[in-house]
Amino acid sequence: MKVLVVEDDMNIRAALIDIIQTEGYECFEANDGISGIEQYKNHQPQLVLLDIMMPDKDGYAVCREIRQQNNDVAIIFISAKSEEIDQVLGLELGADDYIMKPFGKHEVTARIRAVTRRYLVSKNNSAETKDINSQPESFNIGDITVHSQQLRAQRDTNTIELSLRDCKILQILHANANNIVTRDELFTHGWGRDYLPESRTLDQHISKLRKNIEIDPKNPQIIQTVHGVGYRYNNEKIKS
Amino acid sequence: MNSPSYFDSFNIEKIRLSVKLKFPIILSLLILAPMIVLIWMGNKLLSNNSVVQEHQQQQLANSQLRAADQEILSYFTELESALLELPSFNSITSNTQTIDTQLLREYIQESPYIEHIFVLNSQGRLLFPTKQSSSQKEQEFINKTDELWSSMEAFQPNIPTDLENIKQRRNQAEKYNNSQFSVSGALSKIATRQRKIESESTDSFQGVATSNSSATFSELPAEEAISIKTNQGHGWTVWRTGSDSEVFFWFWNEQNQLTGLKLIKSFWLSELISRLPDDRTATEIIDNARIQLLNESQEVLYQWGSFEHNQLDSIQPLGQRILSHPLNGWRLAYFSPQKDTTSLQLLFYLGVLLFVSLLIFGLGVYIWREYRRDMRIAEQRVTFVNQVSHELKTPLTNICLYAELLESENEDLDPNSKIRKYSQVLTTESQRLGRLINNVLTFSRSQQAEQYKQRIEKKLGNINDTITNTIEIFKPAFSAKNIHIDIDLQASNATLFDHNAVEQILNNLLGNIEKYAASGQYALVISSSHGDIVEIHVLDHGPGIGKSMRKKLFEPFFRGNEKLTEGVSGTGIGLSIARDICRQHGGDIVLQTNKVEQNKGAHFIVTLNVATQNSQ
Repeated sequence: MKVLVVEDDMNIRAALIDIIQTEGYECFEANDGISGIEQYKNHQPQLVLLDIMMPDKDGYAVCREIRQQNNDVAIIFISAKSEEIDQVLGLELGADDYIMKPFGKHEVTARIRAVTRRYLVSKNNSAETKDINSQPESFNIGDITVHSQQLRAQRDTNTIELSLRDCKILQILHANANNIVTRDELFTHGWGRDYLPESRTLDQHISKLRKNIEIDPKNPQIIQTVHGVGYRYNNEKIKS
Repeated sequence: MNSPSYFDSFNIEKIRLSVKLKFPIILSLLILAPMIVLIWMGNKLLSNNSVVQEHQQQQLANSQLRAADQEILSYFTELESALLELPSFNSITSNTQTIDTQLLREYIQESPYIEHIFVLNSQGRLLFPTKQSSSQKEQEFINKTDELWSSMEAFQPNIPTDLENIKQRRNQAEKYNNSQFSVSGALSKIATRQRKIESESTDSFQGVATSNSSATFSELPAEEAISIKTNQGHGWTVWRTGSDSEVFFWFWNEQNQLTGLKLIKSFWLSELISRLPDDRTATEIIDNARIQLLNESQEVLYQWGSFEHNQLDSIQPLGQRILSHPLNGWRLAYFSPQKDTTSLQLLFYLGVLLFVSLLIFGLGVYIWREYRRDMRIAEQRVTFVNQVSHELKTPLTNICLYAELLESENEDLDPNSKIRKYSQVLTTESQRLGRLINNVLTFSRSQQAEQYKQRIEKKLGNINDTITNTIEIFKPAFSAKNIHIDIDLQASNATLFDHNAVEQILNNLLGNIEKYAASGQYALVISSSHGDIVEIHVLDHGPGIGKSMRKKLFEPFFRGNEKLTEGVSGTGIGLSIARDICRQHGGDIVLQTNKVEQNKGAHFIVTLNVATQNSQ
């Protein structure tokens, strides 16, 4: 999934890109409204994070132009003023959600995941989301059931929140159950072909994922490390 | 996306609107009330003045009429005295037992003021003029006035005749006249003239009387002579003859004979009128008024005064007075224009009213302007705080984002490592600052005009998730203060609620536990659904809230007692905001009081209406 961040504050923009990429999205950026529209036209993202107060062209105008081109794109407004949000709602621009400043990483993550869920459900089997929808919607891996389109996993009655990237990694591990999935394969599937891998990035992500899905992250049952090669999901071991 | 929900806060907005209208309403009442009282009092005063004025005019009319009547009475009294003192006439009627008719006839002929004389004995028998020897003129007089002397009842004194009384009346009349009403010169002329007659004919008069009239008096029986002594005095008698009336003066003489004089009407009337004021002199006594003298036939005999009116008959006189005896059937009528002083007073009153109204209105405008100025300054302050708070948001977002990114980047490190601890402090404090700014902005919005106030945006979601996420944010701060938190979330998963509102309410309640109830080291959050209502209970084991504080707990800027707040920073608007949001969300927040005791902690119950707009 592609995400466009249109935000004039450089630091916020950089942080948002970092968070969004970590979540597993392909990210593009723009620092004002005009370049935001250009970027949209160039990359056709499925999700746009749009600041309202920007020089040259404000978020309302950018939203209108994007909506003219594609009414299905998900748009999350970013604003410092609740009055601006009132206006967004009043103008009925078709905003999917909004984030009020000041916000933290967790809030951004939660909002993006929520919008993604709705988007994935509505665009089931479409070409735009083939990377996530190529796999079955729900599958069992270890003692958890992963619901890819909901970006969630279930262990008994407990719900586990997953990122898009988490789902992709779990999908490839599940598809290659009992086989080693190499680091390159994981990178290609989770981060994309263009991404220049850093070995630490993958390990860190797997470590966080284990904390999220494993009962004992120090003694992982679902994702096992194959030193120097990659990772493996051992289906038989779990079953036994 | 759900459209904005305005119905949740409808009642609160109505209350706020009424509070906003309170000042202009009170000010309008302050301006209108004295003006209404002033108008009412003025109206009352005007009507009272009108009554007083009417009364005064009436009094004036009555006094003028009374004075004129007194003058007429005084004239007759004086005339009466003058007639009684006529020496020549007395000598004719008093000094002889018989009546010399010839002498009397001559006397009448000579007299300028006497038209007829009649003499009756004590039995009421006509001694003069006798029916047998009367002239034609006398015969007519007898026929005309036959009934008058057929009864002696007409000749009873009916006005006071003692000298003192007469003098008193004369003095009064003179005072009233004050030279305008001159004592009739004609009366003195009568006396002079009579004296002259007397000197010319005394001897023959007496002789004639004796020779011609001796039979009349000598024939009187002895009993009658006794009864004669009871007849005495003098007086006036009015005799109506058709539409006219005749005035008679009568007196009993020493021979017990009644002598009656019919005065020439034109004589006494002109005498009388000459004593009354004329138009010129009247203006000095009565201003713009007219008095009419009317006889029995309502004919105007005389009138005086400066008031001119084309149809005086058609207007109602201000006062009337029936004249005293002997002119009983006559009357005086007083005419005066209705003085239009009321309109002058009305003008004056309207002027005063206008002045006072302008004064009050000016004062009202001044107070209103001062109020508006204060409001403007307050609004400017709020706007300033608003602007500053917004300016703080972008750098704070960066701090929050990067603190959390840093924390997430160092997740693999030892939890007790300095980097983890520092980044955690950065995260929690930036979150605290974020909550503070949000509270300030929410509060400042609540003080602004209606269209700028925060609105409730209900969206379908899992309220338990929102509660969990909010608690998650507080966990590091709670664990740093050894506060253990339990949750029991039973609310239904699909709920229509405002995510931000619930988060802000819980932020304030959990923030208070962190600040004031850390000593209890325990917190519990419970959620449950009851139809369209979601209840969230937030409990702690802190020092609790004393009875004295409960009443003001939700008021803005209230921070409890010093013992509780000592060394703890806070603005005192958290619970006030929480209550506002709850009410906007169609619910409320209350402190559970029945179980709360000192040292047993506080128990807040949040209720939220999670119904759709249509079902509310």
